[in-house]
Amino acid sequence: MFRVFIRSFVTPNISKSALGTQQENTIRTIFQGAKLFSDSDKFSLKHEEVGRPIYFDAQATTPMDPRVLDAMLPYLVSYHGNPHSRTHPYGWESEAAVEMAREQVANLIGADAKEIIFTSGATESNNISVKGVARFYSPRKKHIITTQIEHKCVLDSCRVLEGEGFKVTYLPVGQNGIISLEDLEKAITTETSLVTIMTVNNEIGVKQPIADIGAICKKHKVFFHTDAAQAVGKIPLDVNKMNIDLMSISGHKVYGPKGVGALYIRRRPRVRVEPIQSGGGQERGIRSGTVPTPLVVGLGAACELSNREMEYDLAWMEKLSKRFLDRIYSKLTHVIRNGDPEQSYHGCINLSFAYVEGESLLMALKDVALSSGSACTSASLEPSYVLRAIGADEDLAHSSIRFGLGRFTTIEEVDYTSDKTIKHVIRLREMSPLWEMVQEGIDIKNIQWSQH
Amino acid sequence: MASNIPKQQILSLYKSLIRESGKFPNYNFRCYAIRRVKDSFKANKLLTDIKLVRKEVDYAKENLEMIKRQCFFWTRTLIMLHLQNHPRCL
Repeated sequence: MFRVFIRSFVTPNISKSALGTQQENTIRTIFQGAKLFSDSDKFSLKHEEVGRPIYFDAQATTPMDPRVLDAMLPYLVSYHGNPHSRTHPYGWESEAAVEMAREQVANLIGADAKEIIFTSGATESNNISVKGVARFYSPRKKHIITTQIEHKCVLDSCRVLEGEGFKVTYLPVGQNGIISLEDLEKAITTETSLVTIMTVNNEIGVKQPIADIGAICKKHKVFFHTDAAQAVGKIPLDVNKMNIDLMSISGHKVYGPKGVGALYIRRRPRVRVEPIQSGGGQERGIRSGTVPTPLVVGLGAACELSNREMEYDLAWMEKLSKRFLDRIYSKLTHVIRNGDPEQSYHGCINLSFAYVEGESLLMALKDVALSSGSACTSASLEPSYVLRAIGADEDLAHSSIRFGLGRFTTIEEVDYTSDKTIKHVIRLREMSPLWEMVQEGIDIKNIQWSQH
Repeated sequence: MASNIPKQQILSLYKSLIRESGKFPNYNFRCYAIRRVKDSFKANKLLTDIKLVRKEVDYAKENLEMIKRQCFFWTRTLIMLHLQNHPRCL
């Protein structure tokens, strides 16, 4: 009681909203606690602007684990040496930390430490692998294969290459978001230098059959790059068992710091890339520029942690997503899950609520931090190209919402979010004339709307 | 726990880990820390190999120190916790 009393005065938002509207409410809050608000006016959203929303967008970024920060702190405050300085101990201690982090990243994906290159993030890793491999082998081979549901940075790199005279095949995906292996095999020609397919999709969470794709690429002697930003540390990956030649890793998707990533480049048989950035020749000349020691240490610590916690985290994700979906499906009809329900990462749930505008649902769910798709395109109201690629109807693509669960999501948060979602979907559907027509048994798809 | 590490010591380690975890101002970190401590002690309950027990105890001690260092960041409380009369993970 006393804590509530203090908070209602200390938090500026509460005192503002309460004083502005009803003096009576203020007094009631002081004596009876903030929870009264939620009971008194059911559909009002005005009192919910106290505090922070629940974080349900783990595909955009993840909070940094306290254990990661703990590993980084010494390198932010006391060990400030340049890891490339060879003439004094300041450099040596930083270099030792960087090499240790390289080892930790390599262990997570079953690689050798020498095969890891530190970059500024998965976007840079993707750029180096797609453009680098394509340009290096361009005198003989000028063809690249990718999919329609890749991340923007891969698709844009491919577009740049198209401008340079390369041929690019964009493989279509099925209704479930998974590519067909026959299509892939048919698309490979003697001209092909690189196949790039993401491991886990950032919007719909589907897992591609990476091991099978790797085997096909090995058979045809084509390099295989995978963007594993959403997969590393969350699902088991092994570059040797899966025949992966290049792999992009992102720091802030594995509960590590932002602004750092890694690229795995196979050494045997050697994959050669043309560097994009010229400079001091750090990181074997592939990515020049001083390696940021604290960030790299953080990435290493995050990778080691997720290696240790993978089984535990996976079980937690499975439990939470099952609970969430069960609650949603038990109360709501006409909910479509985008992407394959089996072959997907449990922490990414993309749902389409038919006859509800996605944006209005996002607005209603103010106290939950959600997104309708990837963060890169969250500013536009256009439906995402990923949903279009899996053949989702225009209206369903507009009503999709991505629920991203993470290591730090609690059961209470899942319950709260699912209850709120159910409440607002029902509320919005009650307002919708389309929903009324569906309830009356009219097939909306067959209606000829008159145009004005 | 058939080891030469006294049961008392392990229990007090568990208690202080739970106590310190409850001090995380961030709701998500606090809940995760408590859940993780409980689950890992539960999972290692039947551990008999002395070497492994020692390893786990050392890891727990490291983590206790880490928690003591890290639980000082202040964050705003979640809306959810304002609205509901919610069990605050301790």
